[in-house]
Amino acid sequence: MSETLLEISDLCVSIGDARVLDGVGFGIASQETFALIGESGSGKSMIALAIMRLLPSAARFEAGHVGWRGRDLLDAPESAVRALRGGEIAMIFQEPMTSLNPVLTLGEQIGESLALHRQLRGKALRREAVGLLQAVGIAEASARLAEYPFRLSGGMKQRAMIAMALAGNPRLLIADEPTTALDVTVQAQVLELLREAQRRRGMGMLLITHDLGVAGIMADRIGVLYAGELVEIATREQFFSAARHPYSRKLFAALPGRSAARLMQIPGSVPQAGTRFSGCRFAQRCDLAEARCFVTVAPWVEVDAGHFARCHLLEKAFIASTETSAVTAPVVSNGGAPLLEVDQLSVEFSLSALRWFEARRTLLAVDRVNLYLHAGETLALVGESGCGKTTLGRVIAGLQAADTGSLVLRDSAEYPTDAGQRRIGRAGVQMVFQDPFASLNPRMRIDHLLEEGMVAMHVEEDARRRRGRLRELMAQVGLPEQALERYPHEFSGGQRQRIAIARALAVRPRLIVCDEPTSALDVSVQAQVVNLLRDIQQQSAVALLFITHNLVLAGYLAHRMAVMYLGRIVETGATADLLERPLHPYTQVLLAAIPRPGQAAAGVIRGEAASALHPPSGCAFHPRCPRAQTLCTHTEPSALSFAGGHIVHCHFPLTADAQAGGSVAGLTQ
Amino acid sequence: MMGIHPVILWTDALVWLLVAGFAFALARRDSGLRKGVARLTRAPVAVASGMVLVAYLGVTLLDSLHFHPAAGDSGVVSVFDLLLRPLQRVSEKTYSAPLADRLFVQEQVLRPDGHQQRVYPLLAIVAQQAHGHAQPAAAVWYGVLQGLGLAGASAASVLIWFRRRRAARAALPPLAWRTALVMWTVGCVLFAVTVQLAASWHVFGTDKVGQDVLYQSLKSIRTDFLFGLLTTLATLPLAVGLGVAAGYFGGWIDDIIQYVYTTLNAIPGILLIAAAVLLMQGYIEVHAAHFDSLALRADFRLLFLCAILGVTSWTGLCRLLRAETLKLRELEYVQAARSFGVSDWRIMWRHILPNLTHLVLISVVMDFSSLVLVEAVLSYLGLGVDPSVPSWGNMINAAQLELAREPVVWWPLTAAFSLMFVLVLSANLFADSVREAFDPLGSRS
Repeated sequence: MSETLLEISDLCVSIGDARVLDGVGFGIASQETFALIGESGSGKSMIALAIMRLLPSAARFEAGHVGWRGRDLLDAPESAVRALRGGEIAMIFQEPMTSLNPVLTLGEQIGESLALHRQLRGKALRREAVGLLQAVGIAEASARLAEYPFRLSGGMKQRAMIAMALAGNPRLLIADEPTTALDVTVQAQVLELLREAQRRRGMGMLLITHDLGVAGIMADRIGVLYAGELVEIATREQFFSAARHPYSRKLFAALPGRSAARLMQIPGSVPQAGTRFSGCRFAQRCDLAEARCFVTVAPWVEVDAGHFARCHLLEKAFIASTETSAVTAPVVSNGGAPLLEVDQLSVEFSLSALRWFEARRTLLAVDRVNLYLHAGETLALVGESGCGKTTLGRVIAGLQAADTGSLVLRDSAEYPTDAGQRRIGRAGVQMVFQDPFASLNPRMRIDHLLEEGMVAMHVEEDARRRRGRLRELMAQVGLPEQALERYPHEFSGGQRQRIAIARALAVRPRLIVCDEPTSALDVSVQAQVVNLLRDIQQQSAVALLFITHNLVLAGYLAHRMAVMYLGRIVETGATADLLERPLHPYTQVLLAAIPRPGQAAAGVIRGEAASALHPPSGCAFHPRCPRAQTLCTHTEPSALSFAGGHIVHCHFPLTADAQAGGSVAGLTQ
Repeated sequence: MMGIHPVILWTDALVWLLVAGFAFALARRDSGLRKGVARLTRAPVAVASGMVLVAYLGVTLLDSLHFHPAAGDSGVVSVFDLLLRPLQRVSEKTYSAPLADRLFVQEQVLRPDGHQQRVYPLLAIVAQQAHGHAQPAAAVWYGVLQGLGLAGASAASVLIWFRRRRAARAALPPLAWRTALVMWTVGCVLFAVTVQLAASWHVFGTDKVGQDVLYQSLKSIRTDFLFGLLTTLATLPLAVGLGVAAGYFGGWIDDIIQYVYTTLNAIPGILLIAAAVLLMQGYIEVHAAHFDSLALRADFRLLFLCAILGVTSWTGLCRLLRAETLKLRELEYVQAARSFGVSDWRIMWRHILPNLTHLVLISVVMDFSSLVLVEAVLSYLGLGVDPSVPSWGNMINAAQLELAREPVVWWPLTAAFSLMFVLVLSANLFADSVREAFDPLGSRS
């Protein structure tokens, strides 16, 4: 291939007496993308910092070397390394909101790097900055130079960040989770942009990610990091067709697919940084582990050309197929009245006026939404950030009042919208939140946390029976009874989320609203929570409203799906229908934007969701819609019903007929 | 002295109640306070500054046990006064320097031969020594030996006691032993040296009317410690109640509370305090019957000052708590509690308040030291505690004239300043340690 840029061998880094990186070695050539995959705390970012020699002061290099084009970076003087940073080696960070300085304009921030590494001044600098912004796809680049970061959307900021990284003409770009904070359609745009820049400039790229899908479409070679140790390196084809390390294989198995099979779950949780190991670092969680795995470290073996792995049981692991016990699909009572019926529900937020004597601005977060949900059914509510899905969930959970429309929970009185009365209907609907660290009060013991709702709702008045119920709940969510006497900080993220689920279950709800319950968790832990939710539904026929931005997960878990865009539900239908025959262009775009290994990213659409403050006229999606016509710009589409309860709000739905060029058929309204 | 006729002043009652309440909170097994204290006792700085504060607190508590010395006597004496009796025993005519033999000012004396002469007369405390007069250095050495002996003996006895009772040892929080031992030794030595010196000299000299300055500075401890403590406590209900209410409810409640504290902040504090003090003096004049003794009057004035200062200085903490509550209110565990239909008051009590305690605790300890300084400033301006009550502020006020003398009378100011400095410094160091120990972010690592 081409020139080898980076050569890391046997890199060991310690913090205190814990090895956070142990014997890490890999190389990156120009034009090559090397993806590092790992869960939180595996030391991915530590490698990036080690290359830039920006390790936190507590960390210490123990051994190994980092070679940069024949030079050893660890021995190089600080001044030489400083010249490299932002010049030959550039870095993009995860959080676009915090990696741009809010008090400097884009021009100043890009110019800083241009002046430093390319010695540009005055007009030449400005011309180059404009060129960079254009290259990353920012329109009206020369006007944007004078703007401050807060005027840009998240995707725009990440583009600007990339422009800054490219300013020094880097040979190696380190991208640390560059799209984790972005929506899936924007993620596709940014990944496309990165690939494009790499191709044009012949850069090498180190892509750090936890997302197998992203690695699958971007990487040439993939390294899997577990607890500070590389467990496998392979080319993309080798990795996706024949991953050898048990951990890699489990990562695949833990990803939700389209089959109804139960997800493979990896027991336990990701070890915390600072854990001390003897033997294989994964042995604790590996179901194949033998006695020697706990004692000796496995050798680094080349199993195939360019395919390395570190495991005692390579042959065995490869044979042991990912056997998954098939589970019967939960029974759905489609007959009878639905459990929850939402009719023409709208929620408005009023914002303070910008100027005096001006009318208050309003933001329509949820716009005339219709929904229904049967007992024992899972409805997934999907959409990008800011589409109003969380607000809708909060209204259904009774945490927020609706402005217009009605909400009926079967066998209970009309949903009280008045703040004082809202309390009454609440036992029926409970909520599980996104952040397992913020959803449990750190100062309360687990039993007090679980009891609180029961006491407030008079679920189990007798103290001894309440105690019994708490034990049942712990067993149900798979935690030991002793956990009741402990405090939240003693649990990992996944365990906390189980406690949050137990808390919701404590009051025997008929509907649980789950607001992105797994998006803060690692893939291996996500499977535990998802399986738990399915088990609970089968046992107790509780209905789930599953709010997520992850279409794959929604497709796995839900019976029906509803796609939301700018406060409106644009399409609802049975999961299989919706995933296989999406009718709304937006649903199609969302599906196409999911990074799938082995597929070139198709269907990158331009632009980002408009602000809900100034929704576009007509169909809210028309500015981004590839099929939009003049009708879409001024007339709002009404609901069209198709077979199987598939409803779409679009003037030109992508039915088979429409695709064949015929007229829209089968509409009832 | 026939029996004891206890007198409970308002401030006495308050300070004892406070200590009892704190001890009760500490005794509860699963309280966060206990864990925080255990974290504190592991930090050397916290142990050192904490021991100084405990010494000051001990003096304050002893000085807060008042009684009438005799049945019909309207005078009020504290237990601490009994301990300090040796210091009060001899008083001089006027100023004398620390550890001096003679007065600071000359006096006309009639010599036996009929001539008038200006001499520095011998101090009464020296004159009463029947058998000669030792050198201060000798007393210091003797005191050091005594202090070391005292420290060694007490440490040994504690050690033996713990050897015997394993259970008691297990119940004790982990302690930075070396620091504790060093501080204890230093304290013992200082105490013994002072006791030794005070038997034959005025350690810090005497003031204008010949009173022992050491006695005054020690008596000032109670005034200033109480001032700091009670004022901080007076601010708490307002700051916590209004801050949490403003943050949690928002809307018009928030608007009103914000309006009140911005308005209050706009009025110069000293002006408000001056007005309030005048008001209170008027009240005492009118209702003289209720304040039949000097001590009662002085106590009422102290209490009133604490209250008025509390009312004017709650705004900072209130603003802080409001902001924190605004953040906590949106956290998901509060949302979860709301979805259970838990009442607002209960949410504030169980979910918001416990997560604010570290802020409250930290700011209480930090405010304490600045309030001790405020007492000095207010008394200097004549707005502070009753002039009859010994306080560092009053001593500094008097030093105004003393510093203008030639040669300068420096010791009352120095004495007041050093005791105040030690208190404020250890309170500040302690506040730092408290912040580290109770900050949830710091404790997570």
